[in-house]
Formats: sequence, structure tokens, C-alpha cells
Amino acid sequence: MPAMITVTIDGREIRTEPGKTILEVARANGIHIPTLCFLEGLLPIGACRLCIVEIDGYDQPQPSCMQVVEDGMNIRTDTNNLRQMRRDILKLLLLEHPLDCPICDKAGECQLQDLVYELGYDTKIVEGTAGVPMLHKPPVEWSTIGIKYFPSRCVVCQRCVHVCLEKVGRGVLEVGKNGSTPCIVPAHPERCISCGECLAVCPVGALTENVSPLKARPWEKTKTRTVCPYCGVGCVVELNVASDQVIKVTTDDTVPPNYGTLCVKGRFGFEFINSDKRLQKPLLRQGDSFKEVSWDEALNYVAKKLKDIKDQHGASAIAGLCSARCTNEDNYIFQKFMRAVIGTNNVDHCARLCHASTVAGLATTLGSGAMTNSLEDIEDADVVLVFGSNTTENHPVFGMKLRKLARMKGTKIVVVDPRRIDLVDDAVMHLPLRAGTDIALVNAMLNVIIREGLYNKKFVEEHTEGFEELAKLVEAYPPEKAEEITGVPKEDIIAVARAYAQAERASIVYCMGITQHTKGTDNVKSLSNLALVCGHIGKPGTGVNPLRGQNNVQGACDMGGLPTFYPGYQRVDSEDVRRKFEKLWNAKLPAEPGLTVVEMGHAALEGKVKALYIMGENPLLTDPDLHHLEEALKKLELVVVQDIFFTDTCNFAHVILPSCSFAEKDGTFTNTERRVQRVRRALKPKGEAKDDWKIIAELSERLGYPMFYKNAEEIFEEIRKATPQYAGITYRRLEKVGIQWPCPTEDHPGTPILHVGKIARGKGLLVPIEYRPPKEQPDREYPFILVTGRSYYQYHTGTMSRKCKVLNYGAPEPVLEIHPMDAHVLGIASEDTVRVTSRRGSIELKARLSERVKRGEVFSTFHFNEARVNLLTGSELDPVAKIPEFKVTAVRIEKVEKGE
Amino acid sequence: MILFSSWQGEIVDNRGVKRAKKPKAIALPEEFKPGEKIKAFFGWDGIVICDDSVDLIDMALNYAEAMLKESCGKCTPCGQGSRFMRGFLEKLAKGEATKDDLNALRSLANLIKSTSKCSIGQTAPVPILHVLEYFSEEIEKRIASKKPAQPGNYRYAVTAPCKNACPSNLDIPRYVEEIKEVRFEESLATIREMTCLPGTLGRVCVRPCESNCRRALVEGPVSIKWLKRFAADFELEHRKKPQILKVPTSSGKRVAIVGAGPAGLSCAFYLALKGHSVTIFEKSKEPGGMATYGIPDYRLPRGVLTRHEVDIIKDLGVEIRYGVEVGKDVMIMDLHRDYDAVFIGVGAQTSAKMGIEGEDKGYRGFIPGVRYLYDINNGIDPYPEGKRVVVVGGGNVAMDCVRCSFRIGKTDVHLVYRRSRAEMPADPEEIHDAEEEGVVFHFLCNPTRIIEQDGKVVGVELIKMELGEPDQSGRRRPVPVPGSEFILETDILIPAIGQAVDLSFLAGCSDIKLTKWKTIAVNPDTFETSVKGIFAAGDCVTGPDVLVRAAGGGRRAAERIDQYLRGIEPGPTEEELFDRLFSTIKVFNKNEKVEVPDGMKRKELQKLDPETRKWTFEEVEKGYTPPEAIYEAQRCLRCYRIGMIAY
Repeated sequence: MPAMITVTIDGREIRTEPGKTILEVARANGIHIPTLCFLEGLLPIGACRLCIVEIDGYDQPQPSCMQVVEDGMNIRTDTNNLRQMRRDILKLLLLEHPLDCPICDKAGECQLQDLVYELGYDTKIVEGTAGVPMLHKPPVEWSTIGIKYFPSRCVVCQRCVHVCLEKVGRGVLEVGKNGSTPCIVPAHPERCISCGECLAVCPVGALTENVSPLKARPWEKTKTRTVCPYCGVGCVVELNVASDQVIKVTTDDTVPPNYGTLCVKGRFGFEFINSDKRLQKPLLRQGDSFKEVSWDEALNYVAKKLKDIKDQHGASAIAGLCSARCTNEDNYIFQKFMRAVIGTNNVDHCARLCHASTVAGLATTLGSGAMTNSLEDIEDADVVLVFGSNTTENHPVFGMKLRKLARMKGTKIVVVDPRRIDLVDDAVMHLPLRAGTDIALVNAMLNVIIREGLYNKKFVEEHTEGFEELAKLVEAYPPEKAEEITGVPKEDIIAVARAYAQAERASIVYCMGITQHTKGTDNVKSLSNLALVCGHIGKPGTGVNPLRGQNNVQGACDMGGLPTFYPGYQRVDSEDVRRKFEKLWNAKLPAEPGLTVVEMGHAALEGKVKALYIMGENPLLTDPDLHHLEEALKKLELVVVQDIFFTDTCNFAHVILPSCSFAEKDGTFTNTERRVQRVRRALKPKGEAKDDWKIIAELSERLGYPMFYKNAEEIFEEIRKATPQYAGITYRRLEKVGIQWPCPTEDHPGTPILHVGKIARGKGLLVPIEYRPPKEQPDREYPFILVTGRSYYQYHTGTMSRKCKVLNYGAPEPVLEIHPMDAHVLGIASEDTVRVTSRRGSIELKARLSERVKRGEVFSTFHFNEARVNLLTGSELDPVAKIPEFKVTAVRIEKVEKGE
Repeated sequence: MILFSSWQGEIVDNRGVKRAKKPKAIALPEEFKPGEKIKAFFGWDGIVICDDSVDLIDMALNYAEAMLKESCGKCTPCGQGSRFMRGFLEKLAKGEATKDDLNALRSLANLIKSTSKCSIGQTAPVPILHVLEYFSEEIEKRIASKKPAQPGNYRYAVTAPCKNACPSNLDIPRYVEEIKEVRFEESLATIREMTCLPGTLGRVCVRPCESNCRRALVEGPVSIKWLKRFAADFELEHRKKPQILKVPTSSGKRVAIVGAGPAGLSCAFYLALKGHSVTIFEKSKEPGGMATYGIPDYRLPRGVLTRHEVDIIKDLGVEIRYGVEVGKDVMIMDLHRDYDAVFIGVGAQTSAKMGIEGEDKGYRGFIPGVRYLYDINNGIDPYPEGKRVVVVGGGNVAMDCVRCSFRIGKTDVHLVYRRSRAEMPADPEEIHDAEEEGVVFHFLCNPTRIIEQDGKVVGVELIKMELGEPDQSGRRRPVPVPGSEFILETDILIPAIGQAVDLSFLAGCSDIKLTKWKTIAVNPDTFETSVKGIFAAGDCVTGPDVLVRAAGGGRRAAERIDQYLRGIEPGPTEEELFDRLFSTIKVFNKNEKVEVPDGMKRKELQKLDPETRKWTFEEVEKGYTPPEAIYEAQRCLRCYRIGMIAY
């Protein structure tokens, strides 16, 4: 602790730590100094000069936001002289400021208004300026699809400039001149990612939201705090509602995980809620079309069909997909329904397609299949290895954080990815390995670390087992060999190995590039080996951190939306566990594990599964080898889809049931860092739409198992009983900030970091893993490797994101990224239509020439139903986790001639 | 003659006075350039008037216009207020202003002066306020008469104390501000506009800028050098492609450069950026010249200059032919014949003589400083048996020699200097570090004789000195104390008292004229030698000097060569003329009371511990982390100021 110092502010003696600014000390002691540009969390800008104070010994006033306190300083914050200066400075801003407050979006929330009110607007100011020649500000405006700039209202406080630089790391905006008037100019529009952070910090009405046609005064709006429905970061958002419509999304600077930051989807991706394409009534298939029916008719139909199939073919002929998009409460009820009412463990969801290998891999090596650390504690890391995660596009708010840390703190980021993703710009190194060769790379890193004695011997001894075997295996992976396999220069492998091992704190962040392989589980175990050998686990800024893809994929897994687990990862094949749940649910439960997502398709084709109940999923875009799946769906006797929109999967449904969007729901989501957060109802359900859990409950009643829940909270109370990790969490405790599981008791604060002091498994298991190449290799006929993934602007199957103006503008159509040299050889130019063909199918889409991909590799996203990438992917599965190899598909590319 | 001056608060009013007084605070040259008289000067510390034909209101209006143009707009008082200030002055100049306007103008100027964020706003109102204060009668008359002002001719430029002191003329406040704003890449691009050696200068520059830093008057200068290094290292560490202006289409002109040292490389870089095709002839196997062979790795790791910075120059298309010695393998006049222009950027590579007995005898153990460093930098210990070292000299080369000695395993290292510590020309930081590493200093001593046995050095005879009257350099001259001789035993004696230029490369070319100091004579305005088309800069022109001056000379010479190749008469730019003017006026006033409370101490670099570092060539100083660099950059007061002349 540095020695305390004493300063006097307005006659008050204050003890404080040195190194703080006068403004900080004043605020901490309840002394108000007016400011306009200052913003907590940013470096001081020093633009407005309203925060000036007087300091003994100096003739000139000093800016309190920039001046650091010194022992013995005597400071005055409020004198006649200062007031006059502040009024005069304000006058400079007001002289040409349009007093268009009645039509300004910001009226009532405007800090300029507040300052004028506070400091006064005396007539002297007006007299004094009578002779000032007014300069006309030419109305040069600019706007993006989501943001509009009014230069005449701008006070050039530069919060927007600095938030873009410091928080988002983009540096789009700069101060420029409009004639001789300072203004904000988009100096680098190509860098803009439309996150709207600039808009959020504008103190006046200069930057305004350009999406919702509906506007409202602050007092006409209600703000409902809930959780963003897109990626797994789980940002806290406030839905601003007027006339039962979401008109804007804001957030809260003070709470995790996002602390006031949002990405383009969080801020501008809300139009789908109000979309007129929302399903509003139950639909029943009639030949090739659907007819609107009553809830009774629809539910009776489903109940009867389910009962018939169960009677005729047994419970295992029925399978269900719960949803990573629905709440914990919805998922809990769904799996309970499948298990207790239908009597099968055939319940799974799309977590199978993203992080099943994580759950399996980390559970084996560490004893818990979730992200070990918090999103926030990456701030403590000195080195971050980002493996197969396009973080800035897929987990944008976390990506921004990585960017910010790289630039503002000097955190060393290493990107391991076949593509030159955007994060590479902020990385100290990029290892562009060949897709699917991760194990060889990690083994070589381990080889270096062990050979050079850089591993954490004490940690290995006390907290791991299997070191000898691992050390022996990696002997066979010198960096030279890894260079041959991965294509990464051996010097780089050695450098990264040293940097990771020698760092005080180093974290591994990974995503689909690791998991979506037939060796996905082994990939995950490899990363776990790396962390354990170096002892980078159980401390802030360390760990093995899978980034979960969807808003509630963690929760859906926690709730037992998996064929092998009850809620809380309790095994269905354990006698004791089954008895416990039989008692809790008062039902006889099946003992054998159920089918996984892809297996359900196979079983349907074989006629073993007759009915499929799908809640909030769209497998017709997400699952691999779609032709095969279509055939399977066609054979089913009953397909029920419960969703908010008519998805591609609905085309194969017999019954479609309209459900509520997140904005109409109460419940909880669990984000990637195991944080359970409250989802709150901000709007009335659309049309006759109902809560997902309610639909299931009503169906359950028709099948003779009434479920008596008045609301989501009652379900959560049951979840607490069923799920040990959630036992201590209550809705009351989640009121402001979410809690990270495990949280065993109501007085437990939650667990930001797993494996502290001791690995959950007891000892971390080191697993020697040989490298084997991916199942599909490029050959003469299919010479390219196709890698699939997501883009920043769209989300998943586009069901929601494609209903939003800003998002569609950002990524309007499917494209195939191809290296310019490859394109040249094939005679392909940018914007040409190309045909991509694999052993399983063929799609056509536009080519985009890009050096982000290596030669021999191409990339596309799976958001678009006009070019369903998953027609191409194969259904080869990881033997343990049953995850398909989305990341490596051998394809052939041809140019589609016009008129063809 | 100066009619009126208010510079730095010293009022000299010679209007209607018989015996004119000369102001002490300012020495204003008569002419801006040959034939162009300076009629008045408006600047940060006041106004100077030399000719009563200047219309002060018009000049004030023009000065306000310059301020408006230069105001970055990043703070309210200056960004918004300067427009209104200009508006008032325009009214005044049109003869439309009232007394109220005058009052409003005065209070606005005062507001801008006392509340603006940087020196543009803090100083630009000064000359305007001085006009209002010292010429109030004239102004009142003008208001009453409603006569419009007489338009005059003006020139202005922006400077800053640090920028003006920099021999490479780097735009320091701008690159520091860009670091403060987390625009690290932009910062480096700004640096590269003026030098292509940011990583090198960021480590070894003698930083004249920092001695002219106004923050030094508060609690210590801004670490301008280390910030430069930070920007360079950030690019290197992140393997970023440099943001360099695109090379234009080829001019078709070819330039030969002699020497790949700081001057030659700088000249090559800027010539390439102008589209010329450049070939460098370098006698060594590596680039960098004295920066590579004269500076040890613990101060400047080899890769920074010889790989990274030279690679960037090569990426622009510059060809470097290593192992080609001009004067031996190729003659300078051949280059003159075969190329459109020649640039000589040779350094000062031989050691100056001490003038003592035994110096020329070739004793084993007698090694001139530059030679000693050259060998060590090539990985050779020039005399492995010798373990005791005495270095003579007080400059940076002497420091490099003593500090290198430990690093090649010498156990006993002494430094002999004829004056006292305070007079040592070496960087105080270097002296401190050498002391920490265990070098024994002998001040006020001078060698008189080499003690030799069997052709080997065994010691040196020294005589004690005392300081007498100041000499031309302003330092007190050392005088020997008769009879105070004593002997210091040693195996190695290293003279490092200065360097000289080895002009043997000029063999067969008597047309290139030399100075009496045995350097190449050039026209200071054009960098041209006595042979048309042959240009020179760097140590071979200035004599042994600092890296930053050689680099700056190389760049300026490139500009002249470009003019020459385009058929334009080479000569200094207006900006350079202003730099000279500002140097005369002096932009830095070390007696100024800077109105900034202290509290932000200078951020020092972390160094390796002396006991660890003295035995290795690993870089001693660790660069800034981003938060440290941002903090340090925040200390910058952005002392831009506008100087305007009426002519």
C-alpha cells in the first residue's frame, strides 16, 4: 500500500491514495465537479474543460480530470471565478447549438441540458455575445445503417472517439473540421463494426440510434433488464419498451459480464421481436400446407400421436430436441417431460454440434466440463492462447475485451487458427495451422516445454497424474515434425510454447476450431494437458476456457438436455441418481442413455424413431449432411416444431406451435462462464404465443402427468433441488448480478474460478494423445478443405438475425471466402457465383477473394438457407462426444457460368 | 531595428526614441531569407515590431486565422472559441467593431488562454492580447475612424520546443499524442515521416528534445525517446506491416549511396519514397554502419536495425551491395558517371589520436575504441589474455568500451577522464549504469605515457589535472598538475577520446573539396559537394556527431537530391527556414514558470539488475508496456506554438 496523502478540497481535509486525479478524489468524497466529456472507464479526455479547479500556487485553473493529487494540495472546486469560466465555456458550446430540444432524441436525458440547468444561463452571457458573428455550421451529416450523426448538436466531447479507440479497439472516429468548426468524422469507416458504443456514450443528441422508427420520451419508456438472446457471452441488456414494442437496447455499465459494452447484435438485433413474421397461432399440417388451429386442437393432436407411437413402438421411438436458445426453465421442463412423461432419454440439442467434445473432454481430465475461469478474469492474463476461436466475430464483446487488453494492457495474444482472423491484428503471433492438426501442434509445444524444463514441476507433482506417459508420447513430436504436419514454422511453435509456459498467468481460450472435429474430444484433452503441465489453472487469468456459442447452451446442458445426463451432469445410467430423480419427479425413469442429435437422424432413417419433438431448434441448417437428415425427417410419423418463426425445419413438421421470444419470457439463461442470469418479460406474448415450458406443461397434462407451475420461478425452485450446482441460487439473488455456479448454498457467493487449490477431479488427468489426420483429406477430386463458421453480423441459422435491418446490411448473403491465388487459378473473380461440391452435396454462392484464408482452404458460414453449407459437411462423428467434423470437409470449387 | 517588443514580458518601446534599446529576451534576425526582411514577428511570448508599415490589426486577424487552422478542435475553449475570436478580429479589421466587441474579445482571449488544453490555445491569444494592451490607443482610433485594415504579407509555421531541438525534426507532440490516444500505429507512421530508424533512435538517441521539454520544468522531461521505442517495438512485437506511404511510380532516376549507416539508410529511404531507384554500396557485411559496429547489443540489439528497419527500407526497393568498398572496388567518380546522383554518407570510423608516447608503436593491448567495439560487435575478443582494461575518454564511445569490457569477461575495468564528472559528455544515464556495473572512474587524470614490456601494454602513466579557466566550449579547461604522475597497471589501453573520418574512399577524386577539419565541404543549403551531383551528409560532413543528426542530414539531403533530379534548384524549404528562425529566437525558455502542478513523475524503464546484465549482451532496458507508455504520453503538454512573420 502506498503511503496515504492529504489534500484539501473546498476546505475539507481528505486522506487519499496518491496517483488519483482530483476528480476521482472529489467524486469519491461526494464533491460534485461538473463534467461533460469525462467517462468512467476511459482515459481522461480533457476536452470540455468544465471540470477546472483552482489550486493554491497556480494562477491558472487546472483540469481536475487530468491533474493528479499531490500531498498538501489545496483545491477549490467552486468559486465565483470558476463558475464564470464554466458558464463562459458552456456559452461557447451553446452559441451555435440548435435549441431543437423538442425534437431531439436526447431531450430529458441530455447532459448539456443538465449543465445549462446547473450552471445557469444568465442574461450577461447573451449580452456579451451580442456582437459575435454567428458562423453557420454546414449540415454535413453522416450515418451508418444504425447510427446517425447530427454535427450541429455535437459538443466534440470525444467520448465516442475514445470509446471506439479504447473499448472497441477500432479507432473509426477522429476529430475533424467542418469548415472551421470541430466535429467528429468517420476517418476509417472500413473499421466500423456498427457496435454502437459511440452512440451509447454520446452525452447529447449528436449520435442517435437509426433503427427503430418509433421514438419515445424518457418518461414514456420502460426499461426491462434481461439478457441478450444471441451468443454465449450473455450480455446484460435493458429493453427500452414503448407501446409494447422494443424501441432501443441499452445496458448497464456496472454489471458483468459486459459492463456496458454491446455488439451489433446486442444493440441493433432486436427487430425480430416485433416482426410480423412471428408465429402467432398453432398450425397443423394439411397436405402440403398448414392451417391455423386452436391450441386445444393442436395439443390434442400431438398428445394423441405421441401416445399412439409410444403404445405401438415404445418410448424410445420418440425423441426430442430441447434448445440452447430457450431458458433453463424451458429446458428443464422439456427434459423432464421426455424422461418422466414419455419415458425416454432421447433428448439432446445442438450443444452436441458445438461443445459436446468440451463436456466430454474436460469432464474426463478436470472433472468439470465447463469454462474454468470468468470472462472478466482474462484481464489478469499475461498471455492468451486463442485456439480455433474467431472471438471478435463470434463472441464480439469478449473479442473486444481481448482487443482492448492487447492494446491497452499489453496482454500477449497468440492466435492459433487456419484463417487470418481479425484478432490476428492484435496478436503477437499467429500460427496458421492446417485445419485439424491441432494435436500435433500442442504435442510439439509440450515437447518444447518438457524438454526445456519449463513446465511447473511442483504443480505436476501435486495436482496431476499421467505425466510420465505424456512426456514419453510428446518426445515423438519435436517442433520440426509438427512443422511438417501443421505447416507452422518451428521457431513460432517454440516461441509460443515458451511464452505460454513462462508467463506468470496464461489462459487458453478455444472454440469450434477445436471441438468440431472427429478428434474433438482429444483436441480438448490436449489443451487440458497444456494447461495442467504448466500449472495454468485454478488462478485468475489462467484456465481452459471454451467459449459457448449460444445464449443458453451452457444452461441447456446444465438442465440435462443431454441423453446421458440428468440436470447437473448426473449420469442417467447411475442407479442412485435415477432413484433420486424418480422420487423427485414421481415417475418411473428409463435406465439406458438416449440418442444424440445425429444418431436421432440415423435412427429415424432406420425406422427406429417415429416422432421428433423440436423445441426452438433448426436442425435443417445446423446439422451435418442435410440431405441425409431430410430423408430421415420425411420418414417420421410426427414432427412437432415449437418456435417463434417458420424455420426451414417447419417445412417437415406436422404441427407447429408458436412460442414466446426471450423478450416475452421470464426465466434464466446461463452464459459461457457459468453465470446464471435473469431473463425478464418486457412485452406481452405475440398473438397466441405461449412460453415454451407452458406448452410442454399443457401437453404433459394431456398425457396424464399434470405439471403445476404458476411461473418460471416455481420451476427454478425445482431446478435448485435437482441440480446441486444451482442449489444456492434464487431469483431474489439474481436481481442485479448473475451468479456463477457451482453455488451450493444460499450464502455461497458463486464460483468465478473452478479448480482453485485442487482440481475438481482430484488430480488433473494428463492424457497422451497421438495425432491422427482428419477423416476427410483433400484429394484430386475434392482438392480444397472447407471450414465452416459464423460471421459477426449474423447469428446461427439466421432465424432472428436475418429479420434485423442492421445485421442484414452487414452480412446480406452467403459468401465463400477463397484465397485470391486459388481464385485466380480457377478463373474466379470476386462476386462470381461458384459451385461448391462435396461427396454429399453441392451448393452455389458468391465468391469473396480474401487473404484471410490460406491457399487450399475455403470458408463459409452456415447462416443462410439459400446456400446450406451443411449439405456438404459429413456426419463422421467423434467417437466419444458424437460431434461431427464441421471444420474439415473436402470440396471442389467450380465457377458457375452465367446462364448455366 | 526593433521598434517595439513585448517578448517574454520585457517591454521595449523604441517608438519616437532617439537611442533605440535592444531587447534582451529575443534576438530577431533581420531577414527571413536573403532579400526578405522581417517586418514584425508574432509568437507565443509576445510581439516584436520592426517596421511601422505593419497593420497590427490585420496581422492579429491573420494570426487568429492561423490559430483557427492549427487548433485541433479537441478542447472546447480553443476548438470553439478560436472561431469567435477570429470573428471579432474580422469585425475589427473591417472597421465595424464597437468597444463592447473589444471587451468581449479580450475576455474571450483570456478565457482561451487560461482554460485550453494545450499550448496552441494557451499561447496563441498572447500576441493578440498584447496588441490590445500595448496598442490600445491606435485601436481606439481605428474603431472611431471605422477605417478598414491594410492587408499585409505574412508567413507562419508551427513549432514546439522539442521539435525545434530535434536534428531530425520529428513531430514529437503529434506522435506522443497518438500514443496517448492508443493510436500506436499512427504514431509510428508520424515518426516515419521524419526518420526510418525509430527503433534505433528510440534506444540510442541522445535526445536533445528532452532537454528542451517544458515538462522538465515541472517534474522531469517526457521520455520522448522511450515513447519512440515503444511505438517501434509495438509494430515489431505484433508483426504488423508498417503503415508507409505508397511508393510512387518510378522516376527512372538512379542514385548511388556510399555507406549503409544512419545517413545513407535515411537518404535511401526517403529517395525511394519519392520514386527513385537507390543502390547502397557498403563495405561491411552488415548494414547500419557505426550504429551497428559502434553500439553494443545491450543498448541496441542487432536485429532492430539490421533486420527490421533495414528490411523495411529494402521492401521499398532499395538495393544494398555488401562487401563493396568505394575507393577500392569501385571509384566514386565511376558512380558519378553511372548514376544520376551520388550521396556520401560515410561515418567517422577511426579513432582520434591522444598524442602520447608509444601510441603508434603497435603494442599488443593498445586498441583504439572504435576498433575495440567493432571487434566485439563481430563476436571477437580482440585480446583474450588481457583482463585489465583502462579506457580513456568521457563520451558515449568510452562508456560503450567500459561496459562492453565486462561483457566479454574482463575483470578489472577503469575509465580515465581529464575533467570531472559534471563535464562528461556521455549520457548521464550511461555513466550511472556504468558505475552500477562496477567501472572504476578516475576523474581529472590524463595519460602521458604507455608502459610497455616485450611489446605488450602493462600499464599507463597518468597525470593529475585541475580545472582552469573556461575554454571555447564553455567548459573549464583541464590543466596538468606538474609532478603528479602516477602509474595505473593494465593489460589493455583503449583511447576513446574522439573519432575521425577516414577519407580514403575519396581516392582518385580530388575534385571533392574538404574542410580544414578533414571533412567533406558541402553547401549547407543544398548538401551538395563541390562536385555537381555529388551530395553528402552525416559524420563525413559534420565530423563525429550523434546518430540523430546523421539520420536527419540523410533525410534532408534526400529532399535536395530529389529537387536536383527533378531539375529544381535545391534549397531549404520554408519550414526549414522557419526552423532556423525559431532556433535563433529559442522556443524553449528554461526560466518559464510552467503553470502545471507536479504529480506525474516520469516513468523510468525497468532495467536488468547490474550484476546480471554486466556479463551479458542482453538488452539492459525493458521497453514500456502500453499502460506505461500511455501514462508517459499523458505527461506531454503538447507545446505547439505559432510563429508568424510579416514581410
